[in-house]
Amino acid sequence: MTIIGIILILAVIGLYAFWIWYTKNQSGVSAKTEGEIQVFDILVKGVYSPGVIAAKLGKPIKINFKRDESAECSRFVNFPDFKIRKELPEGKTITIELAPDKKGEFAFACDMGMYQGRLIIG
Amino acid sequence: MPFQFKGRSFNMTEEKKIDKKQYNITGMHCASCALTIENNLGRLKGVKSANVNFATQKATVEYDGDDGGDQKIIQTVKEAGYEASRAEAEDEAADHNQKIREQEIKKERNLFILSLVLSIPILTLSMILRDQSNASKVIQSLLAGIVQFYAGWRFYRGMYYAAKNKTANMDTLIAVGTSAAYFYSLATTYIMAGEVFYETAALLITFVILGKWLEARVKGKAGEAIKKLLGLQAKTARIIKEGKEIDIPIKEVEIDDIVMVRPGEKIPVDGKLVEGYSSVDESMISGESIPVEKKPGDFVVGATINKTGSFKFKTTKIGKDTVLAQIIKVVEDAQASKAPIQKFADAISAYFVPTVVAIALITFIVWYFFVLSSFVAALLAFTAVLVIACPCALGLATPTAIIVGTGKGAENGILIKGGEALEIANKIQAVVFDKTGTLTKGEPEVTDLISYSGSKQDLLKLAASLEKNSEHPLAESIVNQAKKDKLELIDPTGFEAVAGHGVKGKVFGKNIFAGNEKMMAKFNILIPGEIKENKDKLENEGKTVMIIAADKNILGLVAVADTLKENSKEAIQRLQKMKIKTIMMTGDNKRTAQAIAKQVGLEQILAEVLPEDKANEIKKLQQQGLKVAMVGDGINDAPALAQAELGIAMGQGTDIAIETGGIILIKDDLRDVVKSINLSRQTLNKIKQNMFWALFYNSVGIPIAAFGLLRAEFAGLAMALSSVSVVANSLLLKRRKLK
Repeated sequence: MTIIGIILILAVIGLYAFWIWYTKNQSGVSAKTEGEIQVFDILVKGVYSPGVIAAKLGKPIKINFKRDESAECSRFVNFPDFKIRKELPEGKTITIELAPDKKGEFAFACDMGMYQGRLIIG
Repeated sequence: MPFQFKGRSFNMTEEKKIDKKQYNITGMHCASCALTIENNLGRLKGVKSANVNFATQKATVEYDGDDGGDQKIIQTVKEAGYEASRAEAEDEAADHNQKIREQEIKKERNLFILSLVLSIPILTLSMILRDQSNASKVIQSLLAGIVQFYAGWRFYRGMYYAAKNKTANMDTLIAVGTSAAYFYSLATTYIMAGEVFYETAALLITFVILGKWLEARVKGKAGEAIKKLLGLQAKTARIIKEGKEIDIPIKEVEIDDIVMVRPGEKIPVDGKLVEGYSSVDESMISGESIPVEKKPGDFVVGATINKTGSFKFKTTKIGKDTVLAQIIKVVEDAQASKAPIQKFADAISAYFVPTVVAIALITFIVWYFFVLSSFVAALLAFTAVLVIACPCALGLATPTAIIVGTGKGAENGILIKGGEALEIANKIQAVVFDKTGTLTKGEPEVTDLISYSGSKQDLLKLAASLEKNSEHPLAESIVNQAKKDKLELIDPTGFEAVAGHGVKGKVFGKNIFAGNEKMMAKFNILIPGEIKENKDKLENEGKTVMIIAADKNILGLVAVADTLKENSKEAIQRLQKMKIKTIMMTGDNKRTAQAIAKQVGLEQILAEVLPEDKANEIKKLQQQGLKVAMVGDGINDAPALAQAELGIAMGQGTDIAIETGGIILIKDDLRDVVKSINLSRQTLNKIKQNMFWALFYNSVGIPIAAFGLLRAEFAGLAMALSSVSVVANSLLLKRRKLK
């Protein structure tokens, strides 16, 4: 029994490590372009879908959030690096416009940090 | 129906009004569509004019304001094959959202009641009657099934969407935890032998929904400040056009419109009073309860309430440029910001779900394979770990406190720009005050004129002629005095301002200099002993003395003094009580500065500081290891405000220097400096308390659950209450009196 237990614990640790590694190395969904603008559509339903988006530096970004649920948790989306907090009324599409001036990873999340997304500027 | 207001009678019956409304039109694909709609609307009874703009997709219709008008117009457009909606739909959308949210809160409540009602018989059968019969198990499985799949459906849905995106979230934890309990019981009811624990699954879901319901309720309260501010906005304005008074929606008001305001009415936008006299209640903007007298030339602020008289004003700021709109923007931004302390919580949140799942699995393995306890005990410990570890409380700790804190500030005329400003305000060790306009009223007056050749009036005329091009506040007081004395001023030639020194120019063919001692030294003008004595005497009285010279001769002295604001002294004393060092910084000479410092009891003065050196002086204080706040009027002090750890800009109600400073004081009252530091301290304390409890709760809760010391349903209750307690703790801030 003990041996099975140890093997299972190692398996859990392995899975955990893989999970963290996978989350960190997720490559972002790229944008569709409207002229010079990079556009992303994110569905808010349980999670941000897609949760990781990748954009190029130097071109303006438009992110369309559509919240298709009534959970209180996801009512606001925050982009702390850009000092943006927007309400996402249920069923409506809300557009957030950004123009980052440096490369990097910028997190976005709901008020409580339960819905998490990343914008990768490369 | 006449009514009485402040002893005057007003007639409320209004003549039939012409309403002008805007509609959004969709479905137009060419300019002729616009024409068709225009013609159709024009034929409608009651419509005075209809104008459809193809480019903006809007129709502007003027019609007799009877009730059915809106409907008729929308219907007419529809019949023509297009869609129309009122252009103010945005406001309505906000109301609509509010309704949806209220419904949402109701829905949560009903779900909670349903789950509770279903859980009680389950609990009675399993815990009180301890009925292990098959019939009892079947009844429990049905009741618990409704809770699990009806009330708890959202958790499965959330888990599904997360899984589709190759991730996991809170819903995953709850769905997995409750499913483990429910499906195991289901198996022991219908397939194999063993205990059931439906009550665990059902109560767990009940408690989590209770938490969600309470949270939604209290979170709504936390954000009330913004709602209150938005509610202040007037909906319509009465403008005067071609001699007629017409009511128009506030969105259609343009700059330079003349607006009529009657007693008891709300002032719609910002502007300058052109006719009439009244007192205005500005408490909603400044927190100042005494009404402010307004006469022609004074600024009026939108959303404030006209008290006594009727007046007309010319609009100067509309839409998003009004003071109210800017206040709302600052508060919104602040509430979106996070204090640096929050970064820590964010970092934890990202690893939370996988870590909890790993701990829960290891808990199960240890119980089952190492401790060799029963499968049921291992499973219950697994469930308890999954559900207790909700990081929601951690996520709520900072934002709720910031939202309540900044909202409370806004109600008191203190705009805090964000979490960072809050956190720094808490650590301030020294406050540097700008003198003019901050500690003092900033409207200096000429107090003494000493002429050594010619009359006093000649001296004043010469000084004022030279100074009228200068933007220095002292110059203005000299020019004002000359105007008061009805002196005719002359245009100087070759005018030049020497920053921090004075001004020079040619008047009557002579080189005239006006400035301080440095100015005289710069142009090699000697100051005789007697004149210097006079000058010193005036300066010792706290007056600023300007030396006036023609070519190389001193003509005379003009002394100007500024008076202290009423509350400066009290503010300084209170800061000192809080062990905060108080410093005054001024471009004035040492003696003037000292005289003011003595009056208010300042500890340190930095005198004769040139405008460009103000930021440097702040830097020097910082090099001594002090955390410095700079209080200034936000325009000429901008570099110093930016250099200081915390910039506090005196907004003075109508001209808010939004860009500078982390805190803006709308009222012209230095006691608000003390209040804002106190508010920051209170808010930060709340954040710290919240963070402590959230962390403590998780760090203690997880091991307790892992060791099997906590039944899973109580873990669910604890989790629900932890979030609620954090929000409730933040709300306590609202009750604290701001001193």
